[in-house]
Amino acid sequence: MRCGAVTLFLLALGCAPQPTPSTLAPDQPDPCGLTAGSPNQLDTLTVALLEPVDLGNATAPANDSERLLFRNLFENLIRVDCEGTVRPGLARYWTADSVGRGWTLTLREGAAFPGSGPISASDVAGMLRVLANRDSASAGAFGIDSAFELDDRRLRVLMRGGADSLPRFLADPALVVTDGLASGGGSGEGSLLIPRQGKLPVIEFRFPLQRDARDALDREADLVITRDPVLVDYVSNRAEFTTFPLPWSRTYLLMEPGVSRGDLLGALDTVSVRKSLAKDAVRASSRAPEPPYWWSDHRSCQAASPLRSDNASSRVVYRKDDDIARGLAERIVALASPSAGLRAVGLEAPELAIAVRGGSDRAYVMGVPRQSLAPCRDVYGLPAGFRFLPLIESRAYAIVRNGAPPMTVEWDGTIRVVER
Amino acid sequence: MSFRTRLFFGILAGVFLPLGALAYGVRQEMERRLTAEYEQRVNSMTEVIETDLLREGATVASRLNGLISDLSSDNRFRLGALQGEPASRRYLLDYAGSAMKLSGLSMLQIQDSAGRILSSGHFRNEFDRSQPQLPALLAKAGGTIALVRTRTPEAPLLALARVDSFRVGGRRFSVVGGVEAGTRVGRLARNGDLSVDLFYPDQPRVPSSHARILREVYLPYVNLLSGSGAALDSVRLVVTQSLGTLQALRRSIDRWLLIAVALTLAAALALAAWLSSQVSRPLRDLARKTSEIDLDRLDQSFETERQDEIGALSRLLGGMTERLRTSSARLREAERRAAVGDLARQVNHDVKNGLAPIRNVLRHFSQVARQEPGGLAAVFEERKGTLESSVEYLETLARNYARLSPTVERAPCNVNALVEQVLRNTSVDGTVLQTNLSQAMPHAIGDSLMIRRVLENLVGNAVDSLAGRPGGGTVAVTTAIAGGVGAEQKVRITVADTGPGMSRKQLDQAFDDFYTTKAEGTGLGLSIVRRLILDLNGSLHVETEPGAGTSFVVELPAVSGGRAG
Repeated sequence: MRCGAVTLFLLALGCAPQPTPSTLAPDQPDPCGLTAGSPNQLDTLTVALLEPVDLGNATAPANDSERLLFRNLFENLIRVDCEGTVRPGLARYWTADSVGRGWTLTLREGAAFPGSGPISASDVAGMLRVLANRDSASAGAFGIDSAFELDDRRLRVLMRGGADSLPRFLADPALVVTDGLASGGGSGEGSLLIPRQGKLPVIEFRFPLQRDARDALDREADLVITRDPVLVDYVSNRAEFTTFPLPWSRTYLLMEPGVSRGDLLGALDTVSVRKSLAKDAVRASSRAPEPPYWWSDHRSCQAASPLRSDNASSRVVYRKDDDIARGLAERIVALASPSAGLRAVGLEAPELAIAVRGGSDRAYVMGVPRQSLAPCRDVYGLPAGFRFLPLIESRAYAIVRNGAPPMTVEWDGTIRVVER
Repeated sequence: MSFRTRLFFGILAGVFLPLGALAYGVRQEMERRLTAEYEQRVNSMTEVIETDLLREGATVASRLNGLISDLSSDNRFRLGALQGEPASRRYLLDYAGSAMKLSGLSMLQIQDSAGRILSSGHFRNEFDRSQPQLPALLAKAGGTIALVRTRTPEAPLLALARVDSFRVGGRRFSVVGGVEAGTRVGRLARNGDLSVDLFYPDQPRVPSSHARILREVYLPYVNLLSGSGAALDSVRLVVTQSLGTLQALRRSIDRWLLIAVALTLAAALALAAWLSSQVSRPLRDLARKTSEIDLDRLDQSFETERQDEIGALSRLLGGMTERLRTSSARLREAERRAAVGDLARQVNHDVKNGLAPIRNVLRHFSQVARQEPGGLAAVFEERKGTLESSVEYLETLARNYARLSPTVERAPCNVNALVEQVLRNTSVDGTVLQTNLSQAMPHAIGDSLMIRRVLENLVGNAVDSLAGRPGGGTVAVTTAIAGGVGAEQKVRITVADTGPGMSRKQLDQAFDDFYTTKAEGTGLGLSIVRRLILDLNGSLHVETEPGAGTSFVVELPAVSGGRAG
């Protein structure tokens, strides 16, 4: 009788059965780790960010520099490594109810915002509740029903559907646990110092360089993420640096709005053309795209959108600060007949977003993440009613000074500094 | 054409012709000088353009030479171009972009002998396109610089380009380089009225006209964007100098000329009017005075203080009038003397005629008294009528002659009253007397007895003219004001009858003495009337026609401001 009452009590708490927490044994080598020379010789890791950084983009980083910064500044409940394996993040342990709908997560002891106060379960649950209550299709695509804290370190997350394992989207940047810094917005200037935490080193981020990136490497930078082959070529002869090719992280799409004049996609949709694009058209490490593509199976998540009418413009539009997109757009123009009058036009990000919504151009060349932890949510970021053709995939390089602290590569090719 | 009009046109011609000649001369000279200057400007601009094109061509050629020299010794280019070595291919693709920037060119592409683009500076990603026609067409242009329309990723590019070639590893390569031409042409495009415009082959020719000066510079042209395929053509750089400034000057001169003409017209009109008033009015006055002169009115005054030609003419006419007056007096005296002689002869004749019966009767009495004294009384009774008749005749004759020498008295006379008095004493037999007397009549100046005699004669003649006419007739006496105002005012008396009227011959003799158509007339009535009226300084004229009656119109001087009441 007593035993039955205890069992019912435990069931009510949702803590049965007890899943095994996914952790990495200390002596187990990290398959995604990066080690340059003899690690841990540097007390402070200086990171040179080569692209503009907006501190308000913590939940939606727009470039490699923002991804690198926010990945090391804030944490998600969990991490997903370069092989797709779920790793503990802020949550050290997690258990599920019998149907896999209710998940109880236990935060790491001593978890804290960098340079700020501790992170409590209520902070995380509050953030998740806000997301769950947000009346938007993209937020709803996560499938979070509710969240509440059980105590200072434990919280319970209820999903709309059951799952066999902890949902990997908890590692998505949109669910990063931030303090007020992330919501403050504004562009970073100068440097940002992350104080030492546990066995993590001090990390100093140097914000966008107006001067030559090679100058930063020559002076003090210990880590640079770049897609510029010139920079990679430069350090190839420098013994104090080790260059690591990161996973293919960006896929460049040619997006044609609805019914268009001529079949631009069709003309490019050959393996040889795409190989040629990857080989010669862009000045970056690239390759022909390789399926599967995360958006292919989730187009139904998008709201139905009527096909746009015949386009009026002959522009092939790309984001102005994206050299890879520019090279692709220019090659597309070059391959077209001169009499077609196509022209490549670079737009700033806000203008590009407006242009894509209008859909009045001939085509758009845009880079999207190659991986997605929440494809149904991410597909909302793609314009509805467009036809997509993957053109190339590109990857970045990590240039690491020898002796830098150990790092690991996560699911999207972003580097995280890990404990010594 | 009036004197004033002639004067106006004369002044106008005198001023307008020199003015027109001056304006025409200024206009022609200005046009000649400005046109010459504009032509020189256009020629200079044309020379500048041609020199610029030559200089650009030489500059591009020099830069291409430098690049060719570099390429010939560039191992990575050699590896990429000849052997397709992968590591060198990217270098090859980017070579033209870097080289273009270094050499200051805006267009650069390197092609192999088949025309395949190996590297393009202005359109990096246009590699591997086959474009064999461009080097061939530029070579066909004679190795000079040509205008090439090609494309960049963003927009079409207009470049001044030329081609050169080199050999590496036994293979021939072409290099086409050029400088951007759009802004160069744009810089020349406008400079006031001088413009340089680029005309493509498909654009119509600009016709030369009076509104502009044109010069054309031809330049080889290759349009790689043409849908029908590239071909060697030519464009025209047209230097145009608008003559708008010249035309504006012309318009300005014309406008001022018109203003001057208008002012001249106005001035000529005013001058003509003034001169006319100074010249033609005195002439008109002289003409009027001269027209009023006749033998009975020679009292016109031509006195003047003018010392000009008008004054001389006026004095001349005054002298002539004075001589006429003297001659008229002499003539009147001669007439009077002739009239007295005639009268004496007539009186002699008449008296003899009157005395002849008396003498015959007296001879008869003498004969009876000598032969039969007792029958004298009977004979006297028998011949007494003859004597009485002859005496009466003589008395009448005497009365008539007495009337021929009246004494003129000049005093205001009420003509209407005289008319009424005369009509009352007039005996009529079946004749209707009518009057139409003006109540605003002024008094006439003259002798009332003389005026009465005039009226008696005219009314009596009118009544007599109706005698024996079946149904009688009408005699109408009308008075009215005539002439001008003041001293010019006259009193008009019209005596009209409905009698037989007069023929021209009868009218010519009507005023002669002793001419009469009546059986018992003396023929002195109208003669006396005419004399009396002339003595009263009046006038008389007759309106008559056979069968239409006769009207005698008498005009006498009137008293100024006087009314007949």
